[in-house]
This record gives sequence, structure tokens and C-alpha cells, in this order.
Amino acid sequence: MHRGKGMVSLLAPTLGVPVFLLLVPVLVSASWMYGATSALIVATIILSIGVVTGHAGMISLCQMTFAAVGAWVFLWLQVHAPGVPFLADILIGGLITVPVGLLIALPALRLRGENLAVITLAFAVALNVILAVNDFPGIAEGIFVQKPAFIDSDQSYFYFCAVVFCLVAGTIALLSRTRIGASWLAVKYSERATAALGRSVGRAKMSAFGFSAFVAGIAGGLLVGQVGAVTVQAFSPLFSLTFFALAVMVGARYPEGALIGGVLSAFIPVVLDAIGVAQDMGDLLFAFGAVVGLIGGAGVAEAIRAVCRSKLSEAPSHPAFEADVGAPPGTAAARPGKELVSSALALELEGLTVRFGHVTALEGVSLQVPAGVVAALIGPNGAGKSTLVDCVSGLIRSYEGVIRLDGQEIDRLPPHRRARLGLRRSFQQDRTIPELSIDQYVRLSLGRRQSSQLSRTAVTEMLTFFGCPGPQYRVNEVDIGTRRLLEVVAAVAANPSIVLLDEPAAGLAQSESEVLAKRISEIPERYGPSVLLIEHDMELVQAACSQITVLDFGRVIAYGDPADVLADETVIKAYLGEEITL
Amino acid sequence: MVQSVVSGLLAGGAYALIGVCIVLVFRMVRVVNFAQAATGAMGAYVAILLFGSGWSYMPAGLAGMVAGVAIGWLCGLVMSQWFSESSTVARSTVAIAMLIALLTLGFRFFGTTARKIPEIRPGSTVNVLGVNVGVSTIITVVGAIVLAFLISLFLDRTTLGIRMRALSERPHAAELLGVPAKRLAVFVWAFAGAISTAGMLLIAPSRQSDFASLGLIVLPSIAAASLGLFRSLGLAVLGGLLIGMIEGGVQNFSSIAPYSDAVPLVFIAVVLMWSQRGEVWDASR
Repeated sequence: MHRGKGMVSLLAPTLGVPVFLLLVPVLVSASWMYGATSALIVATIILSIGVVTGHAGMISLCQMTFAAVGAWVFLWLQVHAPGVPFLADILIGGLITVPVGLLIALPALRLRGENLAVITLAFAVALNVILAVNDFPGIAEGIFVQKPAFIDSDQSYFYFCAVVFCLVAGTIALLSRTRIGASWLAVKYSERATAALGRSVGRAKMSAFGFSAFVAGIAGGLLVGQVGAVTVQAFSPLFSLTFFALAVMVGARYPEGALIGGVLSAFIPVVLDAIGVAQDMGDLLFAFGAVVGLIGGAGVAEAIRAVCRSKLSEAPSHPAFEADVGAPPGTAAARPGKELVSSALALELEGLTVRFGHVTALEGVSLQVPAGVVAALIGPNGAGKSTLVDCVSGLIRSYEGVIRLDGQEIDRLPPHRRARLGLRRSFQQDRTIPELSIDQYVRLSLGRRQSSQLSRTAVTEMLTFFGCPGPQYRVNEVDIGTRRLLEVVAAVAANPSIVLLDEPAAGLAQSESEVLAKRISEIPERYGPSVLLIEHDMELVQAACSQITVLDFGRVIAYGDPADVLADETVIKAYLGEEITL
Repeated sequence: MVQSVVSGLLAGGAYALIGVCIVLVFRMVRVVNFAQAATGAMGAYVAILLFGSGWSYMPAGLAGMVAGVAIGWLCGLVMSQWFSESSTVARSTVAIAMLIALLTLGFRFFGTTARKIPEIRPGSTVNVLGVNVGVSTIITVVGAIVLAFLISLFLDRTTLGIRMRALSERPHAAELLGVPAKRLAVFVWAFAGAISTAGMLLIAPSRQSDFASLGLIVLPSIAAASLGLFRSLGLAVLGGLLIGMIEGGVQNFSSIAPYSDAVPLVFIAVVLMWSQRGEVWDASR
């Protein structure tokens, strides 16, 4: 039931927006068509902000500059290549803006937050200066854009812009259900976790900026087509700022939000004029609205969707599920694991050394995890366990020593490549992506082919096995402890050679932790991957693991069977905090 | 060449003054105040209006600085009331919203056309080693350096200053130790409002002085502050003077002179890309 109603709330804007746009010319008088078209063009710009900021969480203050590039190319083609059709001019304008977007994405690989805001604004101002000096093609000659006959009237051009808007909004909606769209959301929450899921952070950022520039470039072409001729003032950096505030205020991620933004920008000035207030006070309203939206934590569209969702679904916000303590369900559904060759090593570390300045975090650590085994890495606080996981997963690249995965050296590979080769990890803090459904989240960690091969039943089976709710729920509907188990599911679902689990039991109750120990001990046999478990909970370690490595002050101080290691005097001393005498 | 580089120092000094304000606010509340120059422009325009209506320069300037204090205080209040715990993206967005609001109000109150703006000491120059230097240039540059020095001294030597540093480096810990976080933050915003008004009054006579252009002086000022990664007052002053001199020097080459407003982009790109080159991952671990 829940799912059906969820679909209603999803479908409403998808169908509602085009129907609404279709009806606009019937409902409003012809004299308003020009303004309505302007609203649509601004709405398209806001959609482009929604991609970069709403989805991928990066501030871009140069969207009108992207539009200016699209407009410039459009006009150049109009003047110098009159044979090329109008529609192609707009499309080519959008396409040529893509490399400009990618150029801005390059700094975004290192700059975040205010730094990215600063450099995008600087870019907007600089390009504005260049355009002011060199003007748009054909403007000096007084060339006026001629639209083809079928979109020559205000009404037909409105429909044309409406089609473009719906196509863009539809593409964004489709993309957000793919792994590209999911990886945009992922970089918004944590770049490290994105890479650990096997997605390239760089590609996610580049694609978000590239696509956003494409959309803005097309909007630029539409604007010139509407007005007939433009000057650089139409693309002033101040508009980039205003539309950014507007996008935050309305919730640019969603088409209905973008549409509300467009309508506000086009008609608030008219309304203000009618009640005798200066038109430009509209911008003040948008700035105010953005601040209010941020205080409330949601834009208009998000707020509307949240209300709709709570009205439509009477399901409890925390879906009830029962951890099945008894026999694991349907072993028939389990996939055959990788071939278990007892001598093969899934993971091998040789002389791993990491220094942070004068502090040696890891010193010559060697470790072997055979295929098909659950091994544990324990040690007191500050022993270097998390540093080791960061090194192995590739988040720390400046280490000495060799890391082999299935016998292959992986030291040169970035984290997302290591993940795809079969080395997965979970994080100590919750690093799931709250806005995705559980199914989307699990599939984000898979390759395209893997994802198409993994049926929904199989995903459900894995989730049930680890005591998580079904794939249809959203990640933000489950509690924090369960979210951390989702990370484990996502890691295991990718069918890797080894999963590194960084304190998966933190935040679980004692009884849940016991169940988890049993489940972890079954991972190799049931799903294939070896496990390296980093844990404080000794009961969990004893119940789940067949070998233990103990780390203290960055060095391996003991290794072997759980019973022997935990009885070892140096280990006990390390845990009790006494000085070690080796 | 030397003359044009030196003539860029006036602008450079103003960038340095506003850059110092941006650093100060950033250190207190970890937001780049995009509205810093607009705040100053607002104060400066108030001063100009009063000057035009017959006030003499100094009282008018002081009244403008009071207006700058009021606007800074208001912005600081909004930021520390609702956004002290928010994400960087949210706080930056609020600063951008403040810029939009101030620009809009500026257009409304003062119009969009440029104004004739009085100089503090019209036309007077001093000959230094064969180069003519305007009196306002000297006031601005020396003012920026002295200000940065005094603020540094204040932050290092006085109890209040040390409390403010604690606040900027460990906000929660400082609050737990009884430092009145909100009041100090708002105080810094207000102080920065006054200083940026002074900076604007000094630079406006030599500038295209419509409100939007003055408000966007925030960009070279931010570029100046970025030299010290928004943390070092001294480097902000140096950055401001450098950018001013580069802009001045560029005027010598007629082919690139029209693009001198693009200098901040190049400066920011080089400084930030170089200093952040190792920041492969975001902060969330």
C-alpha cells in the first residue's frame, strides 16, 4: 500500500506539471503569454541550479554566465550560419556550454563550500567583463533573431519553451533514478563514502556541472529567441545570485519547485507594480525567502512534497521489522560464493607504514586475510585501526608498503577503482544517503551489469538476512543503527573479494549485536567475500571471527586464533593501558 | 609603468581594508561575507547624502560609519541567531542573500546611476621618489596596514581578543567556557561594517561609483582575503595591495586594460587551487 501511495506522490508532479503548462494559454490572457514564457526560461535556469546545488550540493554562482555562453553560440550561429535550423542552434549552444561547465568543475574537484562560491562568482564577473567588451554577435549590426514560423507567435513560443522545460525536467527525473543521479546525491553527503561505493567523485562532480551547464546554455538560447536581441546586462552576475537565492527558496531539485521559482520571478514584479511598490523589491523578497527557507530547512517544493508524503502514507515513520534470530531465510536464494581456494589470500598487507608529520600512525604492519575467512582487527583507541582501513581503501594514499587484493598490487589505484576491483568498506559514522530508497542505495554500489543481474528478490533476501527493512523504504526512514547495517548490505551486495567493516555494531543493542555476529560469520560461505572486522566489542569478535590481529601504537602485537590472542599477556596489557614490554 | 602601478594602490588599500573585515568575520563565524562591500557602500552612500545636504566631510563620514555599524549588526544578528550551527553551504547562501538584499535596497534608495563622490582631500598629491601619490592613497594603504596590525595585537594580547580567538577556533568549547559567543560575533560584524564604510568612502571617488559596482568590490576584497585563506590579516592586506597594483599595471597594456576586472578571478584561481590542491576529500569522514 505504502509503495502504491508513494508512486502517487511521485507521479503527481510528473503528470501535473505538463498538464498545468498545457492549460496556461487557455487560462491566462494573451497579453500574459510573454511573461509566462519568461517564467519558463527562468524555471529552466533554476532546474540547472537544482542539478549542481540541489542534487550535488555544490554552490554555483555562475549559471547566468553559462546561459550567456549558450546565447552567444546561438547568436553566432544565427549570424554566421543562417542555414542551420533554429532548434539546432539552441541545442548546439547548450552543447558548447558543456565544456565551459567542465572547466568550472575542475576547481570544484578541490574547492568546496565558500571557496567554490567565491571562484564561481569570480568567473561570472570575469566573463561578464569579457562579454561587455566584445558584445554578442550580430548585436552591433542590429540583427534581430527570426524564429521559424511554427513558433513565431507568443503562444506557440510558450509551448515550445514548455516542451523544452518538460524534457529537461523529465531527463533530470530519469537521471536521478540512475546511478549517475544517485552519485550526485552521494557526493552531497560524503565524498569518501561515494568513492567507497565504487563511484568516482570526480566524475559525479564533472557530470553534474556539465549537465547543468548544458541546461543553462539551452535556457540562454531560449532567452535570445524570445527577446530577439540581448545585451550582456541580461546575463549579469547579479541575476546569477538572485536566481541562486530563488532556487534555494523554492527547492530547485523538483520541477514544480523550479516552476514556482519561474512564476515568482516573472510575476512578483508585476504584482508589486500593481500594488504600487517598486518592481525591483522582488529581489528583496527572494533574498528574504531564501533565508526563511534555510531557517525552515526546506524549500517550497520540498515542504509541499513532505506534506503530501505524510498525508498519503499512514505507514509508521519507522517501519517495523523483525530481526530473524532463528535459521536464516531461504538459503536457496543465496548466491554461490567465489571459489574458495584455501591457500589464496583475499587481502595482503606488507610493511604498511604511515606517517603524519612526526607521528607514525602505522609502522610496518603486515596482515593477511585468506579468502573465505572472517578475520578481526582489534586494538585500543588510537592504535591505528581506522588509519589502516583508510589506507587499504585508498583514502590515504601516502603510505609505504604494499597492498595486494587477490594477489594483485592495488597501491596505485584510487579508492573507487579499488572498490570496483572487489575491496569494499563501511564507515564508523553513518555514511548512507538519506534521500535514496534502500534499493537505490544498495544498487549504487553495484556496476551496471551487476545491478541488472541482481534481482529485487535477491536484494530483499540480503536485507532480511541482515535484519534491515525492505528495499522500498527510504534510507531516512530507518534508524541510525540500521543504516549502518545498510552499508554492510551494500558492501556485500557488490560481491567483492573482501569487505572491511569498521565497527558495524556501534549503535546496536546487545541482542541485535549478537545476531549481527552470527550473520557476519556467515558472510563468506553465503555470499563469497572475506571479512576484515574492526571492532571493540570482544563478544562480537569472538563469535564471528576465526583469526585476530591486534594493533597497538601502529604495530602488530599479536596474531592468531581468537582464544590464544585474547589470552595473550601483551594484548591484555595493551587493553589495560600498561606499558608494553616486547 | 611605476606610476600606474602606484595609482592602483588606492584601490588596493581599499581591497585590503575590506579584505581585513572579511578575514575578521570569517575567523569569528566561518562565513565569507559576500555582503561586506555592499554594507560599506550603504554606509558610504549615507555619508554622501549627508555631505550633499550640507554636512561637512568628517561628521558625514562618521554618520556613514554608524550606518555601516547598524547594517553589520543586523546581518550579524541574523547569522548568529539562526545559522550558527548550519552548514557552510547554508551560511554562504545567507551571505549571498544579504548581498542581494543590500544591492536591492541600495538601488531603491540611491538609484542605479553613478554619483559624484567627494574626496577626503581633493586633488592633493605628494611626490615620493619622483612618483605622484595621492593623499587618499597614503591614508588608505597606511590605514589598512595599521588596522591589520592593531587587530592582530588586540587578538593576541587582550583578554577579549583571546576569547574571540577561542571562539573562532573552538566555538563550542569557547561557549562552554563562558565566552558570550553571540554577542562577540555580532560585535565583530558591526565593527567590520564601520571599517568597510571607511574603505568605501576612500575608494569611491576614483571608481565607477554606482551602487552595484561598489557592492561588487567585494570580489577583489575576497580575493585579497583568500591569499591568507581567510585567516591571516597580514596576508589579506598584502593580497589587497597586490591585486590593486596588478590592476593598475594592467592599465598600461591597452589590449588587456578593459579586462582588469577579471584580475580577481585569476588571483583567486591561482591562490585557492594552489593552497587547496591537497584537499582531495570533503570534511565529512
